[in-house]
Amino acid sequence: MYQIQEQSTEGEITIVTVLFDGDLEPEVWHIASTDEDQIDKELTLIYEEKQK
Amino acid sequence: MADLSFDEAKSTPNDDLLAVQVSGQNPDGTQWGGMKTQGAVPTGGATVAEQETQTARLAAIETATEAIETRLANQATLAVQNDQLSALNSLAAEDFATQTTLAAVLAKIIAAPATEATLALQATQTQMGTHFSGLYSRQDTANTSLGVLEGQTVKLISTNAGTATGAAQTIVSLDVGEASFISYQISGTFNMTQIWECSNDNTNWVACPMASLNAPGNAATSQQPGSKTGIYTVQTNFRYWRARVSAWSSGTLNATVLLFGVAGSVSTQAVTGNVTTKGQYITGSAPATSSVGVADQALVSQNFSRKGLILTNTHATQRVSLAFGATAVLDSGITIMPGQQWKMDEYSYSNSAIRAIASGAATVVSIQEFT
Repeated sequence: MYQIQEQSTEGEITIVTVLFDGDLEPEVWHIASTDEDQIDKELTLIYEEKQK
Repeated sequence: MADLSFDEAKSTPNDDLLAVQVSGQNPDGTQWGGMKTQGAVPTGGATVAEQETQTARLAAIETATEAIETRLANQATLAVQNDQLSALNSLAAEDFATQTTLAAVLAKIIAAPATEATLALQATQTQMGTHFSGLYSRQDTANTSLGVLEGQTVKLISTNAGTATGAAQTIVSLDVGEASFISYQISGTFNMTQIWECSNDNTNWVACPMASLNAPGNAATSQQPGSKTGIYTVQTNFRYWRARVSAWSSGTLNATVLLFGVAGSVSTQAVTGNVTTKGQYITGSAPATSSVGVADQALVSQNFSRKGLILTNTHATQRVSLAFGATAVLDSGITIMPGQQWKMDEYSYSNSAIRAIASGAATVVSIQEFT
């Protein structure tokens, strides 16, 4: 579904460099959470949106 | 049960063609239906077996026709469930090879005609994005969806705007206590996800799903992903509402939020007994005085929290004239005679600045304001 290549935090924001399945280039996403489950939820949501 | 009905169903056998015609009337008066044919029936030169087959086919169609006519005779309307209608529409000529498909569909229609409950369920499923063939009535006015009653109107209360260019930003946060529903429009070029939340205490927030106007069924969750623009709505069964960016990658999101309320009342009720019309205590400001001269000057500043005001002309011989948000003119408007008081009431209430002019220098006015 996706692969996180880099991950860091700035306060309550998690910055991830992620390569979604089917994409050629990774994307940098700023996620308003440091909770891993929430991060996964966000990235899953983004991936599913890409599939539409 | 008047959603769909058969008003004609018959077989039209002849020497060359087998056909079943099924038609009906929709709630809006338009007609639907069609004819399903088997093709040319072998006549001249047909074998005994072929003729027997055709005889059996005709018998099956006639049996089905009789069943429909019986049904129509017993009931004014014959509702058709969507899947049944789809089955009818999908019949092809080859289906008549065994004469079982049509008979099965007709038997299903007759045995279990649609009910209001099943049609309502199918309508709901369609709204949720599931495809069902068929016809549904549409609640095409905001009033209907809001449950607005006769005599009430939907009124725009306020227009609000917001923008977001990064994660964790609040796009807009509103007190929607006076609103009946929210219309939230998203525009711009961006790649982010956002979440909609509502609250009654402005502290604890819960997810707030919204409906998409341009893509019904696409926004059933509280979270709107990707770069979708459009208009989303929700009824306000809560006090506070906000939209936040849950994840951001690029771009700027612009939002316009309209709050709509329901205006007007549907009934009146007589009230008897003791009624308190001023249901709140007010607080007196610190007593003050101001010396007014013979030229127009400020006396009391504008105060949006003002609920009451008492002015006393303490001078023994000189008059004081007042003006609300305008230049004071001696002996015009409200004039307080020497030693007299003026009290603001519900018919003279104003929160604007008050100016004054006196008939002589150093006319002291005593001021008591309430908030």
